[in-house]
Amino acid sequence: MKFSKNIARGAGALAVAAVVVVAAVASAGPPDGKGGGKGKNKPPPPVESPEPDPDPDPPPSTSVDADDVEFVEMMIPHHFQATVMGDMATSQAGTEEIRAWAERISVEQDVEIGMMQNWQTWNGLDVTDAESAYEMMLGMPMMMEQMGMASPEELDQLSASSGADFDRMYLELMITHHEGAIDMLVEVITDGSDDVLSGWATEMLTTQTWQVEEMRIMLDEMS
Amino acid sequence: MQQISHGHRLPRGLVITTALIGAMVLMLLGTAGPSAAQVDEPLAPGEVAMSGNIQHVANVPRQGVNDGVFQSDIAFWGNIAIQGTYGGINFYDIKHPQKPTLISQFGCPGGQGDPTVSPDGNLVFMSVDSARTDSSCESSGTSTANPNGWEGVRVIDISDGVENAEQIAAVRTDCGSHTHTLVPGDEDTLYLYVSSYGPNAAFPNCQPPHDSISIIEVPLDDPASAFVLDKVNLFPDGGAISRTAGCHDITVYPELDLAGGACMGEGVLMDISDPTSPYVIDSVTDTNFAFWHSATFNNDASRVIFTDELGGGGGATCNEAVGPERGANAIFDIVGEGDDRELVFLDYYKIPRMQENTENCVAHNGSIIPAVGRDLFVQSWYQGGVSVSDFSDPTNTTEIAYFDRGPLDPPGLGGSWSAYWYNGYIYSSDITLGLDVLKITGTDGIPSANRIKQDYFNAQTQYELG
Repeated sequence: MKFSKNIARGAGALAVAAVVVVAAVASAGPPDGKGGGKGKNKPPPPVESPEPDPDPDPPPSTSVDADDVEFVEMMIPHHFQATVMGDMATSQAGTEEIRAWAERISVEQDVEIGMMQNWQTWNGLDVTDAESAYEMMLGMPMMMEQMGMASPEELDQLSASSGADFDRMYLELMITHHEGAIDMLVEVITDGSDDVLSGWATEMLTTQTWQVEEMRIMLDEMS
Repeated sequence: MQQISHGHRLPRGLVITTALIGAMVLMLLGTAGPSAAQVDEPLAPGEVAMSGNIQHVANVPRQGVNDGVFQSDIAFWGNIAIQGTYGGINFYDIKHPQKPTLISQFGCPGGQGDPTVSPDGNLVFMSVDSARTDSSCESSGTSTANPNGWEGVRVIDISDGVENAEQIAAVRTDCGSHTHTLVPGDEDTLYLYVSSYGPNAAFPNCQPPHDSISIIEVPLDDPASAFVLDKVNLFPDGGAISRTAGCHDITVYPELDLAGGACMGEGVLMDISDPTSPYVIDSVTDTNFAFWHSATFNNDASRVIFTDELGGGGGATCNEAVGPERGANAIFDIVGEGDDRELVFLDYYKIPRMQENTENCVAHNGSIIPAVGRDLFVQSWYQGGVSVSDFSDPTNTTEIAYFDRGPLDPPGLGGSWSAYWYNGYIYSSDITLGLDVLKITGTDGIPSANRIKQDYFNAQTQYELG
């Protein structure tokens, strides 16, 4: 089924056939490989490997602990707020510099939300819906403050502002937002046990640390 | 804006399932020419697509003691491919590239395992960027907050053959060693530039500020005594932006005493005429770039490609939402002389093939294909596959060949970590699927590249080829 779908999809499949001779397709069976099976259920490698795989079911390379799980559940809605603030910049920013800066942060945080959701899938965890988790968080002001997130009142002010007022407030709120994230990142790097997540956290930490510094300079230049 | 298809649109490359490949014999009649990498719907799990001018000639699956760990970067010496992993080193015999053989594995954990090999083929160096309980191969992982934790560079002796690989030194470096770059000194000395990042007050072995690289000196008559010669602050004035928090990777071009550095918030050009005292001669920032990842010179080092690893390698950025200018390459000309040399931005480039949102895909490691008179670049894009681009006309870079698997099933982190040209073949280290070997045929410039033979190759130590 997959094969016929490919032919249908590749508009130039016939033209490809014109330059490629495909021989010895007779033994090709249906694609398999689901179920993490052993032995003959495993799809053959594209070219015969020099040695058989001695262990088709490798142990997982990393372990996930409660700190990892909680970090991701909290960081997804935290990131979502950055995209909410970034979306406002599209029409409300006073300068192209701030608009572009906010857009970059939004894209980055959106990509990272997807990463963290994928990580939950890979590890058999429930996937956190970013928007509904964020809305739930809006009802927990203490927690939001602890995580450096903007309060609903601050978001209302930001939403009502434009031009230089918007730029200044966006930078102030995003600095606090990032600082909250940095604390969470340091915590998961220190206490978590999953190598993949720790690597991502280190890269987020590095990026957000210099973004905070850069935003401080932008603020200084505005005043 | 980046162009996503060629003027003369050729058919999409062959799309076949993994199960079919093994049974197929592909014979190219005439010149297939560059494939138009037309934007299409992403591949399904189990599918493989490649342009008509590329052949997948071999795969060696992940296995043995390094099974279950991620496979990362590659180096080459003679007929041996040296593949780093999070668990140690894999050595392959590639004398017959169509039939590579895993000949030995050196189990010695520590991600990400970025490897280089000494020009004499006696030593392998391996970067470790996650804290270990000690520097031995029997160590286990520990917290970054552990003041006694070890991370840095392993020095591995392979002079008695790769089957007898043995760690003879382990050099601790600040913030570990995310990558390292081999820099030739005099005939008795090698230097390693160690790139590392992620400083924070809570990390005892990675305190801010961290605007430096560590330089390891390796005396070749006594490599077991390798030591940190110096920590050189590349940004004494704070850099183009406020501060960098470290470098991710550095590529040196010793014949011109030049280095390109991807240092988080900025891309830099360095003078390394005294390899023990590199200094920055120009640096650039870019609104679309945040995580400057690597630098690759073109063959004569008149130009440099920087990459932005948006999302750190785990994210799905090869889609319309992220677009063609983020998570991409940025191509710069090097203009001027001496310390007045400057980086001048030309354009972005990103693969045109959309990927699923479960596929981590972003610009990653690559190398120049030494084609006469052309600038060709082979590059890994994780689950976006291996892509060959022609940036001879840098404001109109085009993809001329590719190899792309559909998403992993079940979904996971994977794809091609590094794809490098070595003596006529492309070797791709796949995070979970092992080592792939690819061959380009019927493409202008490739025959001239095929004639060039290298004795060894470290991708971040570039020489003019041909």
